[in-house]
Amino acid sequence: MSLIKRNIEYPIFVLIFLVFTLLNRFGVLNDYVMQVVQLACIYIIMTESLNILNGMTGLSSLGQAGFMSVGAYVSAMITTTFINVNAMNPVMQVVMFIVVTLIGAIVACVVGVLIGMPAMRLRGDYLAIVTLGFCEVIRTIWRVVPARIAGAAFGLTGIPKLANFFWCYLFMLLAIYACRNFMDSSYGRACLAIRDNEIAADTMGINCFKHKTIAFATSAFIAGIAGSLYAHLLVYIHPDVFSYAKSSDFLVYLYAGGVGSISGAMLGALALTVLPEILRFLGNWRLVIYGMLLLIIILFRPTGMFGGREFAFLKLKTGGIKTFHFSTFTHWVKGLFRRKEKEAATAK
Amino acid sequence: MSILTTNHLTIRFGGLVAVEDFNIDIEKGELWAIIGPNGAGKTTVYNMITGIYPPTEGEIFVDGENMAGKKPFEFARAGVSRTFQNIRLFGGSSVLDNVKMAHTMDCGYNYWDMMLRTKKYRSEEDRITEESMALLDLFGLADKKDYFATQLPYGEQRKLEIVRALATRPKLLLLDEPAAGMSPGEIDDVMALIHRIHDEMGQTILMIEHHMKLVMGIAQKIKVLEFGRTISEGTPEYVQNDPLVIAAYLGGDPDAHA
Repeated sequence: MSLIKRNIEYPIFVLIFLVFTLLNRFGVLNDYVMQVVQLACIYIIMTESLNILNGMTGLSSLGQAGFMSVGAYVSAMITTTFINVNAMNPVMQVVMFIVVTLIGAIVACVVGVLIGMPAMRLRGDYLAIVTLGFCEVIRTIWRVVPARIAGAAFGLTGIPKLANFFWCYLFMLLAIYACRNFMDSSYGRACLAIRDNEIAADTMGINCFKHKTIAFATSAFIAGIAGSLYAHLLVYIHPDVFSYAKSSDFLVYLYAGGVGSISGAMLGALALTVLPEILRFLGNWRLVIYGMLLLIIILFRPTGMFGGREFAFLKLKTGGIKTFHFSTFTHWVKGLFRRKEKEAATAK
Repeated sequence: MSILTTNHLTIRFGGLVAVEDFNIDIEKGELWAIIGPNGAGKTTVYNMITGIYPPTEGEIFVDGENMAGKKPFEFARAGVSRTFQNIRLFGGSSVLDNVKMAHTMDCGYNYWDMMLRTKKYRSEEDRITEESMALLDLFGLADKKDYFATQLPYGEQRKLEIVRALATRPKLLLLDEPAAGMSPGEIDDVMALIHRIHDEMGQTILMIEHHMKLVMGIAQKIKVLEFGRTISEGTPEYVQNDPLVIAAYLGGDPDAHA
């Protein structure tokens, strides 16, 4: 009981899950809306993983979709080609899904370390170019892997639909808390120190190479999980899905939300995944509005919507200097109403 | 037991000999200063004894340990900690985090403790926070713990850099121009601060400083560099009256005084 009292957000997480599930069950939210929500969860995971590299460690990575594709393809190849998941009972399916997701994530993690180690000698833009190149290489590899294993240029079809809203939501929460734990520790602080001043970090006894490798591995692992969820949610993956455009999408989510802030990454990914769907009624104009909104964010909040802030429920001690309590929001809303009342009073 | 010993430390950048035959032997509890005109190679010496530049020739021993081929973070782990001439704080982090970052190497939990938030993680984090706050408190920065490091005024940024260096619990503290860019009043504060660190905490210190009043006031031993060579060494009184030093600073013929 005291656990819930101290962490009032836990029952709220459960509540949010139940609300979405029940609304879907009773037909208020159709499957299309649920698909968008699930994709938003996956993109939040991806943006959090990018935040570890870009936001915390200051290593600009443009190859995040590459790590995602490793997770997606490795896990999907196992469930599609090597084992027959449809013949299993539901419990085994769930177990298999978790196992292949972890395998995909571990392979992505290994690839991340292999790419990261030589690339670590590079800084800034040069690292971005290497990771961008890596992303394209991986994409091309999936094209040349024989069609009976990975579908080659047709894309991998017939992936069993093992992911659902529950898994997307659960892994999203786990990823957010993993990032929180990472940031709020000596590992996260070491990464922040490397971002701010590598020479000073080095002379303070921080092993820069080790901590950059850990950051790469953690980031790639989380991206691999997102990849597996993506593959088992959309039941079809194609090499071109994980192109450079995808990587830059995550970058946009991160910078719009607030680079370096876990809450920012969360908010940015959520807002910019849901927004184009809300704007769909505008037809082709929606991309114009989307672009303009991005411009407005960059012009008026150069650090992103939530840059340098964190939600209070994450209980972060490191990084976010200002914490954002829910009461701040309610105060702000109340303030708006009061101002309106005052204006109305003066108008009279 | 000497904390830092260097034997014939030499570094060449191409054809330029930046530092030649630099020998120093610092005993525990001493307060040394390196002085010299601009470009004499003082900061290069620092960069060698913190591992940033590997010396071309010569050996470095920190507390008896041979540091040949070691990286800067290994020098820090062996017990050498430094500040920088141009302040290098972790600007995107809070004042408290800056000090906590210096505790990275003595944190006693591993990756899985961190991810799963075990008891070990919590007790270590509490210890690090407590020690960092105690150190900030000692130097009067505790009430500014939540500021961004770059939001502090210049003098306090220098102070924070010293605090951060002390947080690694160094055997030898290297200060690179701690009074650079300060007003006379602030220089007195820096002097009192260094005195305090040396006398009360028993910290062994080596510092580079241009401000003669500061150096002559607190250093026990002084080394004078010019064009990478050591031209004089000894107590402040001795160095002040050395004709070679006078010639290096004011120009003129060193033999004329002899």
